[in-house]
Amino acid sequence: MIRALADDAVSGAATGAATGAATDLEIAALLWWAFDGLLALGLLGLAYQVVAGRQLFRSVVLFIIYGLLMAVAWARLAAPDLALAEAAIGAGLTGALLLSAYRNLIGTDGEEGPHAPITPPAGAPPMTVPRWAALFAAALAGLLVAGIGWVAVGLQPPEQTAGRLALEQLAESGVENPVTAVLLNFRSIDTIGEVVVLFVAFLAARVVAQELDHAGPGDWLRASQREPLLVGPLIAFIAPMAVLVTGYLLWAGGHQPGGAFQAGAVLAALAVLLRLTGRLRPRLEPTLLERSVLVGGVVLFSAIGLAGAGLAGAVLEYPPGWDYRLILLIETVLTLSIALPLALLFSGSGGLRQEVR
Amino acid sequence: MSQAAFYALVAGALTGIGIYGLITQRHLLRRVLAVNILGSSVFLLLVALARRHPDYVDPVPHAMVLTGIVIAVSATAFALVLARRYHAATGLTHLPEDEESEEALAPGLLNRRSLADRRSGGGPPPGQPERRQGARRRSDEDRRSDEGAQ
Amino acid sequence: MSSEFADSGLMTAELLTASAELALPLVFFVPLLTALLVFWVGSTRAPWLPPLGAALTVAAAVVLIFGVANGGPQSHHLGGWQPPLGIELYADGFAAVMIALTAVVGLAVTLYAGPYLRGKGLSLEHFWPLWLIQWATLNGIFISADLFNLYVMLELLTLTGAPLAAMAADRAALSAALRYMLLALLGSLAYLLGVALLYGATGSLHLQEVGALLEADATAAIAAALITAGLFAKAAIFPLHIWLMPAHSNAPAPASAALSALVAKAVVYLVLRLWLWVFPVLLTAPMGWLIGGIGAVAIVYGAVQAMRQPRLKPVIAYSTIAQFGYLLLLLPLVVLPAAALPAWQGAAYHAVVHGLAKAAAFLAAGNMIYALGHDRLEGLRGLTPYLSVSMLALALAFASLMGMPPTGGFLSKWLLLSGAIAAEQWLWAAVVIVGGLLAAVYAFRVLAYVHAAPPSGWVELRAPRRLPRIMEWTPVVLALLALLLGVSGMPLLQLLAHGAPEIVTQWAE
Repeated sequence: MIRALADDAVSGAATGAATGAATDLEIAALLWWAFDGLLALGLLGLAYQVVAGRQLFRSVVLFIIYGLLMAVAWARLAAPDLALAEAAIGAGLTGALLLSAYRNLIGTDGEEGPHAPITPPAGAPPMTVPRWAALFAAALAGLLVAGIGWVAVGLQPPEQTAGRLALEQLAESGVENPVTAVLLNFRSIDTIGEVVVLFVAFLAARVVAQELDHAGPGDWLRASQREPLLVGPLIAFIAPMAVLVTGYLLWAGGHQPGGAFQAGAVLAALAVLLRLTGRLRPRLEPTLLERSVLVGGVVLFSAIGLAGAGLAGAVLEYPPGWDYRLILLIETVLTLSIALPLALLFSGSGGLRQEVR
Repeated sequence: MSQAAFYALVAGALTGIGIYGLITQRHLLRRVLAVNILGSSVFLLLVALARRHPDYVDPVPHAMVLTGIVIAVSATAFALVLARRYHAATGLTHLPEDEESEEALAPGLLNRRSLADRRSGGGPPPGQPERRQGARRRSDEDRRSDEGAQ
Repeated sequence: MSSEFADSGLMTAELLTASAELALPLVFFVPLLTALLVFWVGSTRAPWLPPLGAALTVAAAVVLIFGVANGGPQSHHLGGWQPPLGIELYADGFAAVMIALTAVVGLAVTLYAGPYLRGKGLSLEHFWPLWLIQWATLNGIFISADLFNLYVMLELLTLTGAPLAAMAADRAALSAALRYMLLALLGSLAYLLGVALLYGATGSLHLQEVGALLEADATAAIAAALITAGLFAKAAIFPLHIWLMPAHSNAPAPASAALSALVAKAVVYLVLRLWLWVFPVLLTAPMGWLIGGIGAVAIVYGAVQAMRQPRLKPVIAYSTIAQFGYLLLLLPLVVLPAAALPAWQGAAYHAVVHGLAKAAAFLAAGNMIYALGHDRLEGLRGLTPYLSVSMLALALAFASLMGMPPTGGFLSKWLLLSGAIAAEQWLWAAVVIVGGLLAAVYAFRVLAYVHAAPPSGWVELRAPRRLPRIMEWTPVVLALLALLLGVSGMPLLQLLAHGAPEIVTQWAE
């Protein structure tokens, strides 16, 4: 039975050990299966701890680890683009947002008034619904797992997929990375929509924004506080590196894993770091430059797209021969248009200003 | 079982955990966490589906997931801002149990409001008293934290 | 001479039809780019920009609708890529009808929002970009023929809708927006999960292609269940309705009108489009009964709740829950040869009439809040002289909602009813009739307050605030349009016939 499993695994998992003898192959495959199994167990265990663990702070931290494990799983599934994005956005930025919100929401609990929920005694899971509802939820969740698992295992891959077509027509897209080709050429309206989503999230956050003192990641580094010794040199090292990585990811996206989203996420992470260490300060309203960056990506993308109706024949079609250059231009501007709203959402402010030290 | 099917099953189980968390937990931060688990489980399913083909890796689900990740972080960020504002206005970290409790809340608000209506003629939006209370609590807290810093 | 006129008329028609294909992406891009421009310039610096953008959007919509009416369904392959690889924008009669509704209501909301929000002391700075992006998204949902693109649009709809609902930023609005947000996110993810399964089964995301490739197996069933449940959560269909009343009644009036008449409606539109174009293989009689049953319960539940509300906006919001039930009645009826066509026409017609009437009702309620500072029904007594125009709009809108002849609501319900009777579906016929009667109960309850004498000992402390004329008349125009649709239904029904779903047309031949 193990043998059959291993055979399957060899055909399923594209391992690098193809040159070894048959037994080596089997051992390698078994090891990979063990790895996948452990990864899956880790994901499931962490996910349960995240949604039902006793301490909320621990759950938030575990969520970040969960995101990193998820990135590893995607790397295992031959999706390096996504592993990069998940590590940077799914685990990193989401984690930073959650921790900041945790500090704001929970840091004050248990010390006040009639509104605050009573801090549950150790041993009882905090703030859950009644037992019958939990049972119902468990039954529903179990049903879902069964249904989706049944379907997912039984699904036969279709002969023709949109993805196969994308690979076949990759040469006509102007770039060599198929994911970039799909995002910026074949299905570019999705990408426009997604950057609009980011912009709208920023706008929406402004609608319900609070005063600057409470909107952001807390009162790190007030003027009276001294920062630890190593922070300065560390930032002086990290900041140029992050900019370098951003540029590399952006340029690499054309032919290997990377692209505007990963690059934008790295840039946003840098802004988060600078905001946390007080080198960037929140400001109520965005400046003209910030407003231009916020809308620039979508405006440029849409303008080139609409021009395509005249120059190429369809909206969002690139004029022949210009596709690579235009995609690179759009990606460069998109990187900024992705990084800024992410940074502002974390900062909880309309704009940012540099702190003069 | 192939690797893709294995991970698809894991995705199914994660979906179950996400739903379970979303239904059973009432804390706003927990619910946001559960939604994120749910989102990543759907993404995992897509990535697994992209891996099924013997001869190629399907880039379309990958593009969908990349789009989905950015949408998820946007929605999470807004939900958290909303939760913070809600917390600042009410002092609560969870939503009222259900409709009944909100209805139970309504008459009190109504009375207070109609009194205010009579007095000022204008009528502040419902919930204003609570909001003021929340704001006061907040400033107390600030004082405390300021003292702590000094 | 006359032939010359005919020629030039013909040429204009040809030109319009030719430009309709281009108008297809423009109904999405024009409001989107206007929104970004408004944000960039700042709405205080260019207050004329949002109305201008709205006018341009309406112009693009008119060109598109004209194109569909004359040249049949329009399609545009974005990026020049054929559908399974690229994304197609596609407008048939159903989409054109909804775009027309959105244009009318959108224009009304744009005209109304400025004076209302300024008068209530709310900032327009973020309202304009959010609202215009919402308009773009609505049009996008009506014309997108791609399942994943629709997911992106649905998220945009949620993220523009929730802040509009939270604008007042008081306790009730914030909790409503949060509830809406969480449930809508859950709904989107359920939808996305279903789409993932559909892509896994068919390798395509294109609506029609998935519909053609799909077989009635377990995958399709689970995907359909997830997608339907997810969309139900976003559209507040009965068991998942709890967020709608607080969210829609705590939003500022123009936002309530957009949310109720368009946003939630767009999601129901998607339910119908997916069932009729993608899942017809699954649409058996029991499945239709299941969804129709949910609709019937929603009709009764929403109406009963609406009767119990002490405030006007919650009455209107609960009425939305009830009215969406009618749209779901299409699914059990469309599988029956005798009922398919009238039920299809009735449901689409109902979507339009409800949109107009609901927007009119919410804007009229907004006028009451603007003038009196509250929307408690008790407080309406004896105020008819101050709010006569607004209350006329409210009465007309309610007449449409309850299906009183000769309003548009009567026509839509009559079409549904005649379909049900022709197919001898007495239960559904009864639901339509009972729903209308229940609607009459809550409508007359409100109107009774309007016409009641002031309570004894009533002293007027402060005269109601004067309404700007544009706010006074916008709801009346909308309500009159809903009335007009009852007088002449043919133009809309003819438009609707372009590209009707196969499940409807197959019986006609």
